Amino acid sequence: MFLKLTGGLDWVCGDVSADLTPYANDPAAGEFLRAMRDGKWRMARDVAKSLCKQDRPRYLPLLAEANAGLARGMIAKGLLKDAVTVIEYLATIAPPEMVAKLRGELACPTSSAADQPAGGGAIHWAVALRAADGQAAQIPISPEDMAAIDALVTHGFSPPQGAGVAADRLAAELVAVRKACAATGDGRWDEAKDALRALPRDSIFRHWRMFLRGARHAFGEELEMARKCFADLPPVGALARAARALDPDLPGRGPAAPVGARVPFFLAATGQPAAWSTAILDAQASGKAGKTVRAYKDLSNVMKGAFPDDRPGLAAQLTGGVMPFSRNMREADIDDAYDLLDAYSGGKLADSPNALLTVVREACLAIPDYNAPGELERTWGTVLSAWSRRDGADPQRDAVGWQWLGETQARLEEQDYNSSSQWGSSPQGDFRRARTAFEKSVKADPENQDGWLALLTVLKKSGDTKEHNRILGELVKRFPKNKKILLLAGNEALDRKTYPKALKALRAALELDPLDREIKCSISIALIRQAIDLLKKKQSATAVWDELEPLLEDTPGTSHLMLSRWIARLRIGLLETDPEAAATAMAAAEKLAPSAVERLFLEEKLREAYRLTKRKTLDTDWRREVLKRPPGWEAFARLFQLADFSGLISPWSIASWNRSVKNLDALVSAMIENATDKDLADLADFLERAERLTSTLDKDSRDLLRQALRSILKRVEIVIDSKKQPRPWLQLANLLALEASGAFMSISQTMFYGRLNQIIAMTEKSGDPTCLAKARALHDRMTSKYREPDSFDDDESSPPSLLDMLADAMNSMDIGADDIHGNSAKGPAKKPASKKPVSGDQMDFFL
Amino acid sequence: MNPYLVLDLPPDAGDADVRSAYQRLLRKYPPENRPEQFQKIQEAYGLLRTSRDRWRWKLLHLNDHRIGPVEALEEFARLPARMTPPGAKPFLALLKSCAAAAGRDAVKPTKKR
Repeated sequence: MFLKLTGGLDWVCGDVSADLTPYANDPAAGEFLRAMRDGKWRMARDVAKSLCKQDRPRYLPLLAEANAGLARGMIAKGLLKDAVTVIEYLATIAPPEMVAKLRGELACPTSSAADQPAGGGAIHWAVALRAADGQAAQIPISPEDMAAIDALVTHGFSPPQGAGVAADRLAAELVAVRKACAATGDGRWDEAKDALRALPRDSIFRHWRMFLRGARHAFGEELEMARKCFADLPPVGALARAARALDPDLPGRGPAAPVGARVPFFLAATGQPAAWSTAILDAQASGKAGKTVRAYKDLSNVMKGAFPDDRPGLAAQLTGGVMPFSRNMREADIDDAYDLLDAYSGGKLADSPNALLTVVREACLAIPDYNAPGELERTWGTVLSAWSRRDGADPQRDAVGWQWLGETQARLEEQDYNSSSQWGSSPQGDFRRARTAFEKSVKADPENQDGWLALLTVLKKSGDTKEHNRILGELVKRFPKNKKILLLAGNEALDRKTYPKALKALRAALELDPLDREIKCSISIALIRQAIDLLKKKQSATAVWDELEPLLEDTPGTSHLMLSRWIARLRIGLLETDPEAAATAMAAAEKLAPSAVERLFLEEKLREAYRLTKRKTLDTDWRREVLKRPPGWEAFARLFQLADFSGLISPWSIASWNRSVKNLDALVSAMIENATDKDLADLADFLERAERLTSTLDKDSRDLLRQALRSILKRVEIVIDSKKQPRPWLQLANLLALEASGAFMSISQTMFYGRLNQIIAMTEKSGDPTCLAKARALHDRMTSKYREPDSFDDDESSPPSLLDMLADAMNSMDIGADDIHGNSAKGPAKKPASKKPVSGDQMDFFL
Repeated sequence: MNPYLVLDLPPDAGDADVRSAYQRLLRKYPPENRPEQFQKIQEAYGLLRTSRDRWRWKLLHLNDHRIGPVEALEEFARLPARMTPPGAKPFLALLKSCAAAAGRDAVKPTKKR
């Protein structure tokens, strides 16, 4: 007589098994039960045979169970002939129902047969009884027994009734746990709680209480609480696996629930059709085998009409999951993408708006470069019309769509028209097609301000200044509160030297965003130019200088040196025609400048930029300051940023460049001559940063820095030659200068490493951790540099730096010598931007 | 991550819908208690705030990482307010499968070195 435990559930029930309760606490049957629990049927059979020799009537049911397990194992493995033999033998010793059931399984083998519990759960029951008994005697439950106990809960074995007090008590607990499981799955929390209340504290199922509590919290999205409950679970086993399915970020690693179970579970938990489970699993397998198109088809065949889709939902999530298109596609991805497009071509795509809006839309986004000219426009147009057909017309959608097309065709980046440096150095695209696309965009939605800005950018780049200015004028009137348009209008007016108009637009822009440094820089330029005009006319510029004052900052950073207070003072000191005002400004500049060397260096450069007479005492002052107060290597690095800044105002002459080289050489000589270890450590820092600094500079200042690095190398070597035993810091500075200047290529690796290892040995001995760390870091860097010598010093192919782009912008609005002297001082002619090569293999893969 | 799914919005949601969904989820997932969910919600809101933002996302989003369908399903299930009790049958099926796998783990023979 077996207990009815189903409670309305579809438990798998092995009701043809023998009642193994009497053997649970039989010491002689212990080995048999362990072997059965672990699925070691042959071993169990052998043990049962020997037990039968002792007491055949008592142990014959065990022999039958072992043989039944053996037969099931054989069926699961496809060893049907062997299974027949075992079942034939079983027919001589086992009850006819058991034999009949096995014959049925033999006739219709199922894949789940292997997962059926041994003895239909009777073994697990017996193991659980033994474990409960052992626990009373303080014997801990082994992981194998715990696995059997968990399997007892999840499989539908019905324990026998009236088999003793302990067995009945355990059966009642089992009923409670199963009831709580079902109630938790259904979200009937109170019922689950009531059921779990029946579990005593020392129950062998007590870990289920924590798991089910955690599951309840997980379903209620209280993950913190869920984690607290799951933390008390045994770290391995069924419940740990299930907990990881509910919370994948659970601390601690371990196997999760099998994927075949997770998929139907998550489909049910998110209210999706259960029928999608097979398709998802098949698509996963196809994807793992690298068959992207197959994965796509696995899903679309089963999820007919629902997949692919771009609208929020699981179908869209799955569409994204298997779609091969991405930015920066690898060769294999591109092949996959073409396969998919091929598979969906031939009218299928045109018939399905969803496929158009997923497959083709993403193809356009991911691989526009592979289209023939005009093909992208046509295909993208098809996508936009499909959208209109499906969801109705929407001007804003069309505006955004056409704007993207224009940006792609013009190869514009958003920053090209989103900052004051609107004429960036991105490679040129097809401006004619881009202009058409932008015109469509603003026609669809005239309020699309970004679309207008993009159109202006293209008009300017394609040289249609008249149309550009006309549209810009209209936009300023139409969008008086658009900062970007006002800034653009201001900068345009600056270019045309109509300063009052420029200042009006820029002041309005600054009112909208008083912290914007780009606007402040443009206003500063307009004011300085205005002041220069006034001074040329022998008029006072005091009011203009006063207006400049609130914009200035003490430490504006290298990218906004235009706003530097000391530089503004120095500029006023140089430009002001009133001697008293000039002297006051110069005195202020002297006080505010971070170092005298920086001030003198920039003064020399600005004098040249503004075509002012060279101050006779400048060289003397330089030499005096250099000898008196060498400024340190931080200031030395800043000189190159100042050089860069002055180069933006006006390009240098050869004489100026040579003078700078000479002055820097004198400075380097003074700084290295009597350098202490602290000075040399600073020099080492500078040399380590030199490569990065180089990449931020424009060509002239970059060359100046390289010259300075050679000068440092030379001076360090002179000092080393003059010493009998040069200090480790000096030797390290020598090697770092070799690295930074690129001269390491001219000496042998053996010599370089020999000297470096010598420094490492010396510093290890003397105990200078900083020097040692720097030497070791140099060792690591040089290992890769010697491996890839070609990667060094490749300034022709390096991408344009931010300063390069700033230089472009500043060249278009420079406030150079022509402003004050009426001379023309144009910036160096820029190389025309190279057009991105188009693949020769123009593939017509779209509709 | 699809921001519409994060904010649990229909595809035709307007400004007011987006704002109210954002505020509702912020109340449910305050940053001090649920920082990961809060960050997801913030990002999603940033992508859908204006109608232009919404069209930009719908037209121009592209998955930069390809994941398997199973991972896509699991990601979907972990979105805020997405997972509910699945029903007794699927829950027990999950537990049963875990128990079977754990049983196999427990008796796996240890390899001798």
